[in-house]
Amino acid sequence: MENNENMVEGGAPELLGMNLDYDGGNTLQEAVRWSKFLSIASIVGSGLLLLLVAIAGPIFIALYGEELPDAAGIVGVVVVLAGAYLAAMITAAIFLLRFTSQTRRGIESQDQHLFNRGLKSLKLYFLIVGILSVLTMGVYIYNLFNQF
Amino acid sequence: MDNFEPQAEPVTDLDNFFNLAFDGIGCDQLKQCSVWARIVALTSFAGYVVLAYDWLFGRNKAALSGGVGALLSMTIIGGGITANYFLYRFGANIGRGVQNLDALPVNQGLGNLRQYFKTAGILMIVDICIFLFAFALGVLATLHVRI
Repeated sequence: MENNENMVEGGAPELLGMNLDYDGGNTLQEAVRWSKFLSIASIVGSGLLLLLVAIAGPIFIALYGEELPDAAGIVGVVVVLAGAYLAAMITAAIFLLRFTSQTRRGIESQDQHLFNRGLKSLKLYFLIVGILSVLTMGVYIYNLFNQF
Repeated sequence: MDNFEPQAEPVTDLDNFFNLAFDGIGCDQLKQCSVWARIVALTSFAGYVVLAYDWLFGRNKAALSGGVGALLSMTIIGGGITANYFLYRFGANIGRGVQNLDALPVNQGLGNLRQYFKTAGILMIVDICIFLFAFALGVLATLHVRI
C-alpha cells in the first residue's frame, strides 16, 4: 500500500517541520510584490543603459580613434565589457521576474512544482548577481590600487 | 444517501500555505540560495568599503565636492550596506533553517528577504528621483546659459 501521508499535492515528499506556514507564506508574498517592482525597474533601467552603450559606444570609439589611435582598442573592449555587464544584469532581473511570477502562482494554485521552480529562479538570480558583484569588487580594488 | 456529495469547503489562503512545503528539491534550492546570497552580501560589503574609502580619501575626494554626486554616493553606499545586511541575514537564517530542518529560521530568513527587496526597491526609487533631479538641473542650467 502506498503511503501518501507525507506527500504534498505536487507529489514531492514533505519534510517534517518545513511546511510553508501562514506567516512564511504571507512574508513570501510580500517579498514577491517588492521583487516584482525591483525586477521591472532593473529591466527597464539596465535596458535603457544598454541602449545608451549601444548608441554612444561606437561614437566614443570613433572619437578616441581619431585622437589616440592606440587607445581605440582599449575603449572598444571597455564598451563591450560594459554591454556584457548590463546584459548579465538584465538576465538576472528576468530570473527575478520569473521567481516573482512562479512563486506567486505556485502559492495561489498550491503547485509544489511551480513553487520549486520559483526557488530555482531565485537561486539563479543570486548566482548571476554574485558573480557580477565579485567582478565589480575586483574593479573597485583595481581602481583603488591604480591611484597609488 | 449514496449520491450525497459533501460540498467542498472554500479554500482559504491559510489552507493554501499549509499545502506547500520545502521538500527535498526546494530545500536544495534554498540552500544554494543562501550560499550565493551570503557571497553577494559579503562581496558587496567589501565593495562598498572600498567605494567609501575611495570616496572619502581617494584621489578625486568626491565627498568634498558635495552636490548631487555626493548625495548619490552617500545614498548608494548607505542604502546598499543596509540592503546587504538584510541579504546576509537571509542567507544565514535560511542556511541554519535548512540544515536543522527548522521552520522558524526559514520564516525569519524569508522576512529578511522581504526587507532586502523592500530596501533595494526604496533605494532604487530614491536613486531614480536623484537622477531625474540632476537631469532637470542640467536641462535648466543649459537653458539658463542659452538665455
